Amino acid sequence: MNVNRTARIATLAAFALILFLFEALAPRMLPWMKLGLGNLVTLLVLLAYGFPAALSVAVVKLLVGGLVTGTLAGPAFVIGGGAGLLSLTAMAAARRLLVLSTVGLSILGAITHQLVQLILARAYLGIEGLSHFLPLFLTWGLLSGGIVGLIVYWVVQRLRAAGWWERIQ
Amino acid sequence: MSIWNEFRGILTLADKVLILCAIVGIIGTALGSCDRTLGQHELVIEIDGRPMPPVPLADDRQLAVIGPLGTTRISIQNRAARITHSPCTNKVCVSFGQVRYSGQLAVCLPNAVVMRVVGGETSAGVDAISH
Repeated sequence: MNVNRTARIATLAAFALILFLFEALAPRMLPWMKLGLGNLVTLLVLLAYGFPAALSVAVVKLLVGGLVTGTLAGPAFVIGGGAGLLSLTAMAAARRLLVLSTVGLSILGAITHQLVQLILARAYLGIEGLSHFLPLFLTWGLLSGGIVGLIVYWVVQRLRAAGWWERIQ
Repeated sequence: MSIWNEFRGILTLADKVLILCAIVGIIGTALGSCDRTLGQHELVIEIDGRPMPPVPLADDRQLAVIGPLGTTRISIQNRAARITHSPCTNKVCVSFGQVRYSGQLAVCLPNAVVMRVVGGETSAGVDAISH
């Protein structure tokens, strides 16, 4: 295992954490209306280094983020974390099976994340009637996924143009 | 605007299909959860998963329910209910506003309080999730 590669992935994981914590602290209209800035990094790592690396970044973000925000092992952790990991798996699978652009991948990830969150909330907390929130959650998933996807696409283009894309792998 | 130029042509066919499916799903679920019938609507409150007897929305009243974190206050006015106070940190439930029509619900997840409106002549707009 290339040490440089490991070090870079670890640094990116730290960056993902910073984004996640920044987002957690920043004021929002409604707590669930997050852009998911940490997913910027997860998606980038998926594109640059593949699924195992992206999974490790996601797990690190989950555990350390949960520790710092004090939500480790709470319902938000289980629901959000489960949804995050499953949506990452969905993105990795879709990347192999379909011809999706960065934006499409991100939208798929965001919508999967929202749907799994609702399913887990029902299973874990036993709340019924959450389907009433579906239009809202799906719309936000579409929007946030689109924005994050565009940003990641832009970053990748810049990295390619500067010759970094090949060098970091 | 010139910054958008580099995003042109980025969407593949699969992307567009995905976005289309998402939009169809959004419209479908939005239409499916519409139930604008008025009638004898009642409020069912669940605390920690245990339902309380239904409370009619027709009469104005103030309720207080006790969950794991403390007391959540619910106000029924003008045939609608809303959470006015709750011991949670984010107060999402308070900002959720009123529930009036069948199928609408408001929750305070930290305090395990779920309240939803039932009753009225239910038309085709019924919850997809059910027993």
